[in-house]
Amino acid sequence: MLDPDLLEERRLDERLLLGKPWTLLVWDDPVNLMNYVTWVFTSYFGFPRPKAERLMLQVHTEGKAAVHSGTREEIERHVEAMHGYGLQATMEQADA
Amino acid sequence: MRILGEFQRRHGAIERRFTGAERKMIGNLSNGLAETLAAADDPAAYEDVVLRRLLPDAVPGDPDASAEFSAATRERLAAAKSEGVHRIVQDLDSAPGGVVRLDDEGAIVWVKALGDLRIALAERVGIDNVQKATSPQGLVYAWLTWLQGSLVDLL
Repeated sequence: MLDPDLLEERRLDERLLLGKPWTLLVWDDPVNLMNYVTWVFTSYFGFPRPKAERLMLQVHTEGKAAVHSGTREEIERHVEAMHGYGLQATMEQADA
Repeated sequence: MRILGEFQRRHGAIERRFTGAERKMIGNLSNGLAETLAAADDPAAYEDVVLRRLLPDAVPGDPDASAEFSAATRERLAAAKSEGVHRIVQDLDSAPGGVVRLDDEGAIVWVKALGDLRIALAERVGIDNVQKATSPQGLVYAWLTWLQGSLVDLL
């Protein structure tokens, strides 16, 4: 029979590893230029130009785009970088 | 104010000649933004519209997570933005004949700092006001927009 404490610890580990991923959202704003936003997506994320342009247009026309997903730490790093570029970025957990 | 040309790639660098009036204008805007950023840690400055826009909440609807993010990043972000505007002022002050020559790393600092200046101006004066090119701030904003756009095209 499994030790209940050990079982609880294991569940915690699973939650940490399998926790729902976080998403980086970039929001439309009236100041940043379309070519600038595309450039940020290509140069920072290394996205191919068509993908960067598609995401930029999605930001522009739909008001926001989910640009990346990953662990909380990873997405926090990207949010900080986006703020460094002057982009309006936030993060949310999937189905939080 | 006489408007000069766009940024251009020449002899392996990105160049543009700035008039004295242009240098002064960017200098004034940069000093203003640097002053705002220097107060970023002051709780009284948390409601400043420029700081709220440049250092926004990371997790809307979750004040604790946003505060945690802010505690970890705010000082670093404000310092980086401040360094950016100081750098463009330095480049302008040391430009022989007003000609600024940038390598790719310098151009990236410039394109980000010009963006921060446009954001700060739009927040201070109001986006509707700066988008009307009839006001003095509107003319400055339009010029910065054109300048930043011409630099992005070279990156």
